Formats: sequence, C-alpha cells, structure tokens
Amino acid sequence: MYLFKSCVAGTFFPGIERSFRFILNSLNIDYFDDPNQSSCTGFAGHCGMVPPEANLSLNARNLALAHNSGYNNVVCTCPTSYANLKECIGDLEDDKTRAAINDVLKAVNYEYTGGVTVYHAAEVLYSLKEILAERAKFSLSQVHIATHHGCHYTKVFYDEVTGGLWEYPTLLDEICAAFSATLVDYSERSSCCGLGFSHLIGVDEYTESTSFRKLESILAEEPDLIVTMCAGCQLILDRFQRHFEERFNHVVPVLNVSQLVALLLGADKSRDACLQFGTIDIKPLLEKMGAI
Amino acid sequence: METEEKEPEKAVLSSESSTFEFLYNKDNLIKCLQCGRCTAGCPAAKVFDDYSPREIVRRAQECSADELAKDPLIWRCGQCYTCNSRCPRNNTPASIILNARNKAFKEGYAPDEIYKKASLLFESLESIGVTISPELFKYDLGLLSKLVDSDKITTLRAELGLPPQNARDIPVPTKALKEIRTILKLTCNKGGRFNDH
Repeated sequence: MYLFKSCVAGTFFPGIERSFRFILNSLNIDYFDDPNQSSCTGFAGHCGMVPPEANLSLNARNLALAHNSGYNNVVCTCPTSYANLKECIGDLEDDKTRAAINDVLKAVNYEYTGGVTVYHAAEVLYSLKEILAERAKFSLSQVHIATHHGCHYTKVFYDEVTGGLWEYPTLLDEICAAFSATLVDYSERSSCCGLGFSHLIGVDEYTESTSFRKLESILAEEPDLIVTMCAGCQLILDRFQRHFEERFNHVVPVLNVSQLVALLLGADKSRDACLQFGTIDIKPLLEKMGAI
Repeated sequence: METEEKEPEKAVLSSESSTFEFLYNKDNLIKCLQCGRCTAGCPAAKVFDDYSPREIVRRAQECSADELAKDPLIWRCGQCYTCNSRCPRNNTPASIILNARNKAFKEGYAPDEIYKKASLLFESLESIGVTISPELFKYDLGLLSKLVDSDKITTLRAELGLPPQNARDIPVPTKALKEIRTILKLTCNKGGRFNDH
C-alpha cells in the first residue's frame, strides 16, 4: 500500500501515522512511505481557495506517483484526502478533463493513467481486526467507547462506506468490538464535529456551536474514550472539551483508531502513539485497558 | 507573503476554459425537488437562521453563477456533505457551494478573511508542499490559533525529533517541490491572488 500523508495529522497528531506504520510493521505488511507526494490541498480546497485544475493536477501527480511506484492501493489517514482523491479519480475518468490535466503534468514529466484505488486506514484495520485482536496485549473489555466517523468518509462517497450504512456507520465500532469494547450510542452520532474548514480558521459561531452540540451529546453517555478516524475531528473534539471545560462535568480522551490499535498491540505511548499531543488525561483509560 | 502579483508563465488552464465549465452547469441541478432534506440535516442551518442549503440550490437554479458567487451566504456552509448523503435526487449542495466559492475567490468576491488565510496556506503549500503545517503557528489562524497551544506542540515535536516547521517527518524533497511549484504556477489563475514565486 501507498501511504498518503495528512497535513493536519502531521502537524497536530504525529502519532496517527506513526501508529499506523507500527501496526503494519507488526504484521510485516509491505508499504511505501513516499515523501514526494504533495498535500491533497483539501483543507484550503473546501475554503474555495484552490482552483479545480490545481487540485486535480496536484492529485493526478500524487496518484501517478503511487501508480509508478507499483503500490496501487493508496491508503489515507485523513477522510478529506480520502474523499478528495476519490473525487479526483472520478473527474479524471472524463477524457477531456484527463487530457487537460495530463497536459499540465507533461511540464513535470508525469502522466496520469489511472489504475489506483483509494482506501482509508480504518478500512485496512477493519479488514485485519480479527488478526489484530489475536495479537493484542491489552483489552478494551472494561472500556466504554463513543465513535465518531468523519463526515468526509461517510457522507461524500456514502454508498462506499465499509461497516454499516452512512447513516449509522459501524466501521470504528466493529474494530473496537473486536477488542471487546462496549460501544455507546449518542443522539448526535452522525453530526459534524464542527471543524468547518473556513470557519475554523476564521471566526464565527459554526465551529463552537456545532462542536458543543456534538460533545454534549457524547459526554451525556459517559464513555471512557472517543474514537475517531480523522485528525481534524480529533483536534476539534479534544480541544473543545478543554474550551468548554466549565460547561461539562467531565472530559474524556480522544484517540484515532490507529493510535488505539497500536496501543493495544503494545506500541510505545510516547514515541509511537504520541499520546502527549492530546490535552485530556489518558491515565484512567490506560488503567482500564491494563496498559499501566 | 506580500510579494507582488505577477502573471503565471503560461496559463494552460483557467476555470473559464470550456474544460471546466461542467462545474457550473445548471443541468446538474434541475432535478431538485426543494424537499428540504438537506436543510433538515444541515449543521450550518442549525447555527445560522438565514442559511439553508435548499435555498442555495433554488438560487443556483434561478441565478447566474456570478450572482451565486456574490451571495455572502455561500460562506455559511461547513462543507460536511450531510446534504450530499441525504439528497433523494443525488444532488450535492456542498459541491454547488464549493464551485460558487471557487468562482467568488477567483473573481474577487470572497471575504477579505479568506484571501488573507489563502495567502498563508499557499505559502505553506509552495514552500514545503503541505497545506497545514506548524510553520503557520506564527500567523493568526482565527479560532484555530485560540484553540491550540502552539508553543507546547512545538516543544513536543522537538522532543520527538520532528522538523520544527514541517508537518512531514521527512520533508518533501527539492525536486518534488519544484514539480509542485510548477503545477501551481500553471494552474492557479490570475484572479486567484496566488503569488508567483
């Protein structure tokens, strides 16, 4: 598999990509960690800042890099990259569009010819969950988990969701259940975390109001942990619990599913999972997992 | 950041060329029933009384692309795509809005705040090949800057031996960066306020 990098994960939660590589290394799964790819530009793209031809050309180059390397399964840790790359593949199926983009790529000696499939890292973990559970050093049998599936995984290519339906995705729930976790439901399960791209880097009510509604609904069920599959959602759900701390009775840590699975396999808490990048005390969770 | 605007070396494409007209094609929208399933599930519609994706789609049917691009309400959307998944006719209000934002950005109708942030994100993209990076901590990124203790993240990154200003553990190599800059130069239109390095 060809690992596609996330700018938000790389900046705020380096443990997400490190954990995923730790898991692949543990299972001796071959992958290519290519530094030559560019950002997918999705964050700026959703703010309207990136012309479609720039987005398509940069990602056609990224997809050509994957194809030329012989690693045709592109695996993203970021749902926005996942959706953006899949949209680009769809747009590039149009002959006229592909010819125009390849005309751009000529200037840098690339050609997009297709042949690449895009997945999210959580889908890889889902397909390996029984094998991973057999190798687990710790258990989630004492842990109550609320999951949040990123909107750009469930709602852009809604008919291609692995595990459940887009309206009630169970991808993360089934991975956690393989390690004997108890899953809790909550009313705002399918709601946006609040990130909102231009709203997060600007100032208005969308992000605060939407994240508060989401978190209030999750915390009412008193889980021990929130599990996500998106660095952006993780940033919002972690930092806004701090932001609204006075309005909540208690706060709970937020982990990416890759970090959680790596921890269960015995990854180093700082070097691999990089738990220090979260702002909420994780000790009570680690105690329940038997990891300390 | 504040470098003067120059023309791209070679304008291979622009969003006005016929190749990309499909993005603004009204034929993609005529199926809308105005049923409101999009608005019923829209988080932005819960926050802003004056905003409804159903209304945006109606305007997209009735107005010109230019009029829609000038509508300040297109900046209310959070781009979560809930509307996409709920639409019984497979329309995507979020994409209509994104296309209108692209046009607004190009024509100079976008809010000043968007141009300011765009210059920051594009500086990062052009200099290191990454859209969001720790390099941006030194600038005002609105709510994000308030939420994040950038000094603490910088310290934690240093402890792990990560490059202080780069989101990548292995920075994008020079040859690849040149390719990325060439592509940006060829595809970012004149009106888009991109700096030609």
